[in-house]
Amino acid sequence: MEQFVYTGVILFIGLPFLLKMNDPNLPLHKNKIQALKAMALPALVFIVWDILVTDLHWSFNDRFILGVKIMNLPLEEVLFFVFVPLTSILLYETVGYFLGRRR
Amino acid sequence: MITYTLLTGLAVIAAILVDLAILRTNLLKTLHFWVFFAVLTVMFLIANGVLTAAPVVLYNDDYNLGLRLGTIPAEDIFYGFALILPTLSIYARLTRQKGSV
Repeated sequence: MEQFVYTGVILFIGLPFLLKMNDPNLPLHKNKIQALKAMALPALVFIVWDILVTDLHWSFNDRFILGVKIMNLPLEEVLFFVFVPLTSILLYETVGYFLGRRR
Repeated sequence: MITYTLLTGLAVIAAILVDLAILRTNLLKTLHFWVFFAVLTVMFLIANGVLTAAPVVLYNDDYNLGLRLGTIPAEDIFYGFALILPTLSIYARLTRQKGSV
């Protein structure tokens, strides 16, 4: 089961987005294309950065990953840059909802 | 030497420039962003705590300051900021043009 540790972290991060992206209280439910576009460029920059410094600035422990690699990055690491931004957009709008900014 | 610390510093500067000067979304001037970032940091400390404690990710301390919050390198907080602020700025710009946020 050890190899699913990073997968579990990705699920923890991604589930709020997957479960609540269609919540009618949040503008996200009609802005999902914009959310995907907003995620794409920063994610690409950070993935390239990650590829360039992996095994130098940091490395991944084979015990805790599935072992599927994309350009020397674990699949989970690539998904990190997809789901952290998407869930962050959800969280940002959720905070806006509770602050009463329902523009 | 090109370190994690240096690259993160450059990324933070780039993120601030995107928000305040390039896209002019000015999210940094809003309470909304900072409340969001406080909540995000709590979630981030949980997820990153697991990643660095297991450890899933092993940091080479020759390339960072060696300052840790528990097991988490201090640079990671700024790394998250530099990833997420531009994402929200682009999102704000895209949705504002549409007139729906």
